[in-house]
Amino acid sequence: VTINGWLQIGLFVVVLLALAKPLGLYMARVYDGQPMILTGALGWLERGCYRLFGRRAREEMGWKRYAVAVLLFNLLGLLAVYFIQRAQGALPLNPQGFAGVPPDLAFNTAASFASNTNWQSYGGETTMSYLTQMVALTVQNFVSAATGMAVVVALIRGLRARSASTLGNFWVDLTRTTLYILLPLSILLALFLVSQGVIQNLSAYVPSNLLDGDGQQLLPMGPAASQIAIKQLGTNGGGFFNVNSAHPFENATVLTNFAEVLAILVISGALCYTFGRMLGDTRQGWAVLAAMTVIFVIMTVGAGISEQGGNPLLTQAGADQVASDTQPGGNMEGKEVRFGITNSALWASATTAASNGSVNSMHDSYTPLGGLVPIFNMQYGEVVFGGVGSGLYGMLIYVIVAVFIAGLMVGRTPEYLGKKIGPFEMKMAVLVLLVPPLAVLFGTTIGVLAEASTAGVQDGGPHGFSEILYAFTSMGNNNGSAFAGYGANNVVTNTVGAVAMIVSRYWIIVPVLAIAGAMAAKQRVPASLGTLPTHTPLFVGLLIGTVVLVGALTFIPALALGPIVEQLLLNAGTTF
Amino acid sequence: MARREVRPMDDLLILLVLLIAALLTYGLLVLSERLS
Repeated sequence: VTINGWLQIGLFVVVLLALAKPLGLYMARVYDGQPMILTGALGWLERGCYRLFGRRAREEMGWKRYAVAVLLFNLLGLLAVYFIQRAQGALPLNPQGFAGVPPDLAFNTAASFASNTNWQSYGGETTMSYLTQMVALTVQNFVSAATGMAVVVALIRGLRARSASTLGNFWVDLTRTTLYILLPLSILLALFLVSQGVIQNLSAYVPSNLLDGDGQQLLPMGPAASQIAIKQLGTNGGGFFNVNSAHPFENATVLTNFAEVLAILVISGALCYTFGRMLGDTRQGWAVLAAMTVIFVIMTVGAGISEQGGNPLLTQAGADQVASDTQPGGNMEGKEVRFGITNSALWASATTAASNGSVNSMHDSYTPLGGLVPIFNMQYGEVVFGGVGSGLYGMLIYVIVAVFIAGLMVGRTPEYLGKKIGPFEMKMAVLVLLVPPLAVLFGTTIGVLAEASTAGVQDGGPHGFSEILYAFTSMGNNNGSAFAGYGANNVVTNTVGAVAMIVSRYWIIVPVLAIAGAMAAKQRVPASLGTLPTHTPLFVGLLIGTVVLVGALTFIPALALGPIVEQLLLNAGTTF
Repeated sequence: MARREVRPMDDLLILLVLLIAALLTYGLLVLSERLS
């Protein structure tokens, strides 16, 4: 990594951490229902929503009722997205006259956007009408993100409660998240993006003459900025255009690039502070954020080093791969020249550490070890920042597991935040840890066996396997980024992937809420000499070890068949 | 993107898959409640 690269990564991390406290404080006020400027301006809209939901919309909910509300709301969203896509040919705001989306692709897309995954088996500019993009996809970008944030707030309430039976109200949390957090931030970011040249219109595509005077190119148009703002902030990641934020209409300048990559992590990072604040012990939040940041920085630098190192075979052939004033050096294949290696590696790491999935470079073109970074980032379960809400509740499950492991080592009953962790919580926590690997590995198995799937694999050998593994890793962890090089739009991948996305989202939300309910019901015991403090560097180290070891133990065999053996073969002179 | 032929049954099959996934998810919820 060049000095310039170190500075850029450092600046990014500093800004990210500096925003955690102010934004986290603000979100804590939102969730505790305290008055602020926006409640004065938008309170009428909030009250109007509750009137629409009905008389019981503000009652306190137990964990099961909360979970049923989450599941029903998401099921309705999924069905709405499905039917809008199927019917888009007959609906307005379709200047390019796109036909209805085929059933399996519509199902995959609906499951993808409802579950905050935003895996895209389609190219936006060649498949979706503006109505579908705005009413179906962008709306889900907001509410799927709000769903994740609502669930983590319910978990936080469960952890701080004393012998309580309720966790808050899902409809209130959903409304307040959307109205006071996601909408204002998205409007600000969208305006900034537009000011830099990101497009926002409803025009038909514009034919333009090519510079060499030979033929025309059709420039896609559309309401891109508004979707991009929320796709980043809500860790959704679904691009307006097929190449996502590598497209100049989605990511116009280096400034938009910085703002977009920051937007990926900012809410997830700040939620850690919200967590500490709501508990009344901000050290707990900083500890979780520290663990996330350490893993994130290590992975980012790893990708940067691997990409800056470039392809050893090219060096042997006499190519100069050293960065200088006239060239970036390293591996620039699949990367935007305007962003370079550091900003591509930073984005690749951020988008997969968070369950965002937008890209500004093509991960398929990375060096094998550079490509391993985004895959492994997803495989330890999207808990390093992770999705908005989902990252923190995933990480808190890891915290419970880490506390349990520490308890086993010293022979004491594990407890977290003054609550004893019992067999039920551990069963649910293990379920949370097992569901995504099952979705990923079963999906990959079907992906390498089914002919419909293997027919779409571009490359042979371990690289081809990586392409399939990446696709199901992405769907099975609700990330949504694509390695490229794999034609995923076939009936098998669409359907299996949709089920994987549904399972890994909701089979985690249910046990997390069950843990929240069980924790809420417990007494808080005061800390004693035998209590393991969970805000110390020692505990942060234990947490990092738990996350990385669980991910590594689960996925090293698969990674060995893909990127690891590919790097070894590359060093020996074989490429794929 | 190549357009695939769509049969009238396809929508029903997809909704059936979704229904099964939804039922299994609800089953998990009931199971979690039993265990707690």
